[in-house]
Amino acid sequence: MNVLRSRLLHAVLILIIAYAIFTFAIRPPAPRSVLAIYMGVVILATFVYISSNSDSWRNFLRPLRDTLVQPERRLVRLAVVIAIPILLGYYAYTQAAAKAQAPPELRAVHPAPPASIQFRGKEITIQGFDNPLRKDQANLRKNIAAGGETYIRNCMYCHGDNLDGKGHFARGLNPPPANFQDPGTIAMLQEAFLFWRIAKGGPGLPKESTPWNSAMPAWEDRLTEEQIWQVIMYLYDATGQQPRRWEAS
Amino acid sequence: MTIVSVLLIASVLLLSPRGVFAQAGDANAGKVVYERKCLLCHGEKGDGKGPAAELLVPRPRDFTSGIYKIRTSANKTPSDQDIFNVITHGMPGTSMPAWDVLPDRDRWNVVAYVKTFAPERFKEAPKKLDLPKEVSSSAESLKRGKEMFEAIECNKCHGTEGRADGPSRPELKDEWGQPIAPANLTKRWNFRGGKSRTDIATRLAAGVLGTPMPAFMDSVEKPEDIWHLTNYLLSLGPDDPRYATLITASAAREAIPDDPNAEFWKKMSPQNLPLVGQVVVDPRNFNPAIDLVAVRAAYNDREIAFHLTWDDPSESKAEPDKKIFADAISLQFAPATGSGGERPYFLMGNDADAVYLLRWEQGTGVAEMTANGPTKLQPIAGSEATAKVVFQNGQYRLVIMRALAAKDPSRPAFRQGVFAPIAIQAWEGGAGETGTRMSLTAWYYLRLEEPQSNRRFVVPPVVAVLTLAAMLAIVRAANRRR
Repeated sequence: MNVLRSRLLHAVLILIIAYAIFTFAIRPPAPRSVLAIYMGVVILATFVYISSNSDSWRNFLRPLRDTLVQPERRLVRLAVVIAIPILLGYYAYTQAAAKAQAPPELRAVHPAPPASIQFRGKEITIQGFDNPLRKDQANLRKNIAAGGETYIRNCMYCHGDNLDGKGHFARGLNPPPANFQDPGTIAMLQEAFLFWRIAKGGPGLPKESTPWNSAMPAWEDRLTEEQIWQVIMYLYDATGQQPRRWEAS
Repeated sequence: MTIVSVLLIASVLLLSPRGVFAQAGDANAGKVVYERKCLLCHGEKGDGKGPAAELLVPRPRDFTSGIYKIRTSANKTPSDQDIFNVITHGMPGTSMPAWDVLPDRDRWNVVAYVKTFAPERFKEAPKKLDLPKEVSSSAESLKRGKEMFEAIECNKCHGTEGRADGPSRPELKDEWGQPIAPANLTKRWNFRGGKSRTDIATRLAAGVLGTPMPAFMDSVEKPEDIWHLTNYLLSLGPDDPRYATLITASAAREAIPDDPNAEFWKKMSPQNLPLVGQVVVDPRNFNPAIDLVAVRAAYNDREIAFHLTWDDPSESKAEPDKKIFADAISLQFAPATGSGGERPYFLMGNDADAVYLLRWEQGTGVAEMTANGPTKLQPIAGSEATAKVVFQNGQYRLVIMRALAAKDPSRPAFRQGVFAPIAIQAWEGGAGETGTRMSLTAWYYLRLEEPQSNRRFVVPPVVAVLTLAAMLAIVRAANRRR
């Protein structure tokens, strides 16, 4: 039982378990910088725990000091004194020999939409405009089904059967195709915003917040106005998301 | 709470079984999931004739036939687990995605529902396939595997080196009369039923129903030959494509060889880029033939060279009356990188911004070009690029060379340490690819690496020595205080 009471062992175990939980139990995996913050908090808390009283603190330090001074721990001491410089030297090597990484593709996630767009020579209002097909409740299912058909014949290759942005062409594209299941995409946007992005695609993105590298085609040449509104209805229906409303002004 | 119980909880969390046990699904509940998730490809009646079907190669499965490609059974009936696994992991290399995003329950229900499309098939119970005792890989096993590969004529479809370029390739048809390509054995991440040893041995033993791939259990000399063959197949290519995110050109001190088979290029590791179909401009290409190009690049003080490797089952020159076009590939660069990292449109530029291309074509060789869109290519007068190509067993190896410096502003100059935009387009003329029917990449970055500095050999020893001194000081201080 003596070993189990060792504060040093407690501290090491807490750190290992915390690290294991942060690494394996958080899904999707947290970025390394976030892990570093979490581990920092855990290390701080561990120190508070072991230094909560002087007995505990001494208990924690004893094995460390023993290793440094006790004659019978000479071999352990020698091993530590040799191992730590080698480890740090190796770490320095990995840092010095690190290869260049591709620069990140920074982008504005949802650029501000224009007030209106030209769609095949017709002006379509974007700001404050709602999906005209929503009023036709009788044909709701029919429009959604038609939208599904348009989706699977045009959009699925990049945005995926499951609308999660993991179509079979997705791996070749950077930035990756939008994931409609993600609450940060269509759930935050009005239907008319989607109309603009589908109709004008990557080439129609605004000049500010460049550089763009979007592979999204401009669908106005291929899909009719009605087909685009139907696809939009399908996106919301298939993901179970709700379109955002325009703020009353 | 004691330490022990914390440990227990943590280990339960980490080690909880992930295995899934076969469950009897509910076909009626499965119908609901099927109609939401599967119908658009596989069709309402399960006949594989959904609205997307005609655009997909291979076509979606026709469940009414009761023919299942992926089985671990010795007869034609797949087990429920087989169907469940295909739904869960998808069919790599096809349009069938992994549906592991659906709850297990839903997937078992879909299994029950798709079985109702061909009730006759499932009257016979699946008979378990017994694989022979596993043989691990060794030089002898690989030798035996290669002998078997030729003896049972795998090479007739899959090609001498497994790149799907065998002489029978053009005649292959599936059960429904659709042309079907043999598997490229060097890209096993695309193997339909999975790429593990057992998966491959099972496919060899049980065959792939509905395709020309037969069951080989009885045609090999001894049962364990299945494993020798498996070991040989595993030796044909890497486990994973390990796609690159950056193309690095190495600094060379000597002259760069223009022979694509030179030792110089073999020593360099490939930087693989995934290619996807061009679906922006008509006519679109939903099923591109070339899905990967391996890039190697090097430069010296005068020139830069790109070594490109890609699989193509046939060497084709332009024969437009047979709907065959010249195989081609092009490297795309931005003529000059604007401020703020602005680049031309990734699809070969547009009217406002041109791109610069090093385009090689079978029969005509390499040319420097500018493009203002995929149909507006303009050769640059006095092209200075040179190229040398080798076509061998279903694979192109090509070296394109150009001077490092630029003669005029329409050509980019290549500079050390700069991230320069680069993209690739490729055409498999034998599959009718030409013009906008291509496969391509979006913009990547090319970087000419600076010659290696000695820093990585100096810094680590200094760090190690300083740490050692600090450690000794701590030990001394601790001993003195005692």
